[in-house]
Amino acid sequence: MDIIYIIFLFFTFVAGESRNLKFASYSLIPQGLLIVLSLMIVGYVNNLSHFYVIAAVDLLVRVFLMPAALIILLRVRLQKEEKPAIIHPLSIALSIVLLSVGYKFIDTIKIMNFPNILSFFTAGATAFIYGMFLFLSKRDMVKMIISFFIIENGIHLILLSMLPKVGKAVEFGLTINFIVAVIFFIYITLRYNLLSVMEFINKIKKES
Amino acid sequence: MNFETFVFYLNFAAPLLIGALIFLLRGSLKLSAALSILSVSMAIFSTYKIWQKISEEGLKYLQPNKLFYIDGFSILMQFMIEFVTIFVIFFSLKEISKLYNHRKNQSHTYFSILMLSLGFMNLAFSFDSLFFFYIALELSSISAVYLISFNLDKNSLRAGFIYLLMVNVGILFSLLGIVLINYNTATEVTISNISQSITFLNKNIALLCASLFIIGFFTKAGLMPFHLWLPQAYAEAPTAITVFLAGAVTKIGFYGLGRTVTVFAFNMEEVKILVLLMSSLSVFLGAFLAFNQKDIKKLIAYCSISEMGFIASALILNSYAGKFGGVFHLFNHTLMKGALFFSAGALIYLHGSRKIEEIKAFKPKASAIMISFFIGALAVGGMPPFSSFLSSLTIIFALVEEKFIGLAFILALSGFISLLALLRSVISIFWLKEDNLAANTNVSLPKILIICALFFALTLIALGIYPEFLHSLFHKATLAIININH
Repeated sequence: MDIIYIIFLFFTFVAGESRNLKFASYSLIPQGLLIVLSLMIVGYVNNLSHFYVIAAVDLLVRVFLMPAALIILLRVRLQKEEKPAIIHPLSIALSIVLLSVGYKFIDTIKIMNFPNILSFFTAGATAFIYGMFLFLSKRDMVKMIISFFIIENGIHLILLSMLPKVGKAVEFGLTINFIVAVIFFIYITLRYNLLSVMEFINKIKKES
Repeated sequence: MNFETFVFYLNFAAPLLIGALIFLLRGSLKLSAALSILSVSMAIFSTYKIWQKISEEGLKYLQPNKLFYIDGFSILMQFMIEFVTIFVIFFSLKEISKLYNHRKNQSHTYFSILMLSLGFMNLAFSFDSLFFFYIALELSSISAVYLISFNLDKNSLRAGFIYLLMVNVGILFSLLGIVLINYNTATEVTISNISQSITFLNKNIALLCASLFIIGFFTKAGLMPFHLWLPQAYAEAPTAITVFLAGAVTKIGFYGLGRTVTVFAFNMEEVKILVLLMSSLSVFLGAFLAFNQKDIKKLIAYCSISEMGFIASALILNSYAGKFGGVFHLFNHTLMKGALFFSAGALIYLHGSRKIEEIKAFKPKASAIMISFFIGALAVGGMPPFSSFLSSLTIIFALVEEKFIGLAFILALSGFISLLALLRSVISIFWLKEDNLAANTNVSLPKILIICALFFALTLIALGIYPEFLHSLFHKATLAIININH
């Protein structure tokens, strides 16, 4: 399983650090697929049939709906990321610091005897911390949404590590929340981008 | 299902179902507003019936089934947001017709989402499970985004985006807190069992959970340093929605604080100190930043942040007086913001601008609005005979009693600074006028706008003179918070 989480984190960083927004959006697809894959494996190994249902919902939401929504947003704007509040080299340095803090935190959790869930938890916590960092450092609206998706994926993984104790109704409720949030994100950002384009066209018309 | 259960479900089902119906009917502005009023009236009726049952039978709480848990605190919150919503609907009727005429064809969506947001909030106040509370809370927050961005200009869309992103990410922290408690206690954490649950937690994990809840609910309530969404959202939203945000949406953050963080604070002094430090930051900086604002709604928004710091610092205290003061001030905050924002909304209606300099450029012709604004400003300063005087005094005494004298001083000072910031605007808008200013005769102020502003202002006076009127409700709400702490 560990290899799945390493690949998951690799795509998380690609989505976060890539300046090409289309590429960053596509990077969310393998990220979602890996969540689905890990769910299927855990469901199969532990004989938990409702994990398959959650995996199916995740496939729909995280692999198709989410990236598709981002691609729609990119139709009416430039695909290059707006200059972030914190530039790249510093961004990478800060990510490392944050991840080290995260790793320290995981050590504390280890002492608290979290048995076989650690991989889920570690990957989830790292994605959460990295997503938070991205959220604080980015200025581009699409990149901020990507950071929200990464945070949400991180939380999702943490929650999955505890799913047998939480109950599936909670998981479905949270997925519905996520879908509604995505719909509102698309609505607002699309409207905003359209207004920006209109303003730009009007400006050019006036100048000519 | 018997009548009693039916009435209980009406509380959130009526706004949710009628909200959906309004959207499907796609009716006119008036029809949508009428249906909205009908659904809020049903919700008020339901809340009243639940209150009647709890108070007449002397119950500590009502638990119709495992999913729900209703006590005095839930009922106070429900009553508060339902009454605010009624006035929001009336104000919206006129506001949409004039200032948002270009969006009039979407008024059904506006009222539908307003009702859905109310329904989800009522649902959040009714759930026992913290997970379900979180789900309802997030749905109510998300739906408010449409209302903030209703104008669909760049500024309102940006404000909506920041609100959506910040509140969503912020409350994910509280979800993480719930998950951590859940995992460590191996039981589903609920409002009724949270005090027992946290006794099983290791101290470091408990502190971590408390910090996560604080980040989550402080963001939702718009307290510093997680307040960045608030001034912009308050300023860019239609005024009716600003009142809804200040009087209802942010209150759910305090409900979360009252249900979770107070329990941690009861058991760990560190949590109490952390919340007191953070709320004193809100109290002082909110008042300080209010001074420089040129936008009338942003000015009130920063005063609101300061006032909310007052509430958080009171709710976290362990004494009855502290919690009672917090609950009372929570209610007064809704009244103060109602009076101030509705008055500001009426001025914007008259002059078409939020800029204080531009409003000043016209002769004032709304003496009733001047009165309600003036009352709201004095109430923010905690002046007698307004009800906020009683709640502020209770909070300050409670802080002194628990030896937080410095904080009590900061609170009193900040109240005074907020008062000065607001009075400066009131005086410059209504009194310091040159004789040759033109009167804005093109627009007359609809009576309903004046009634909305005056209702909140007069309630501040009435409750200040006769606080016994709502004492039993505040008392039950205070006891409800104390009960879950033990």
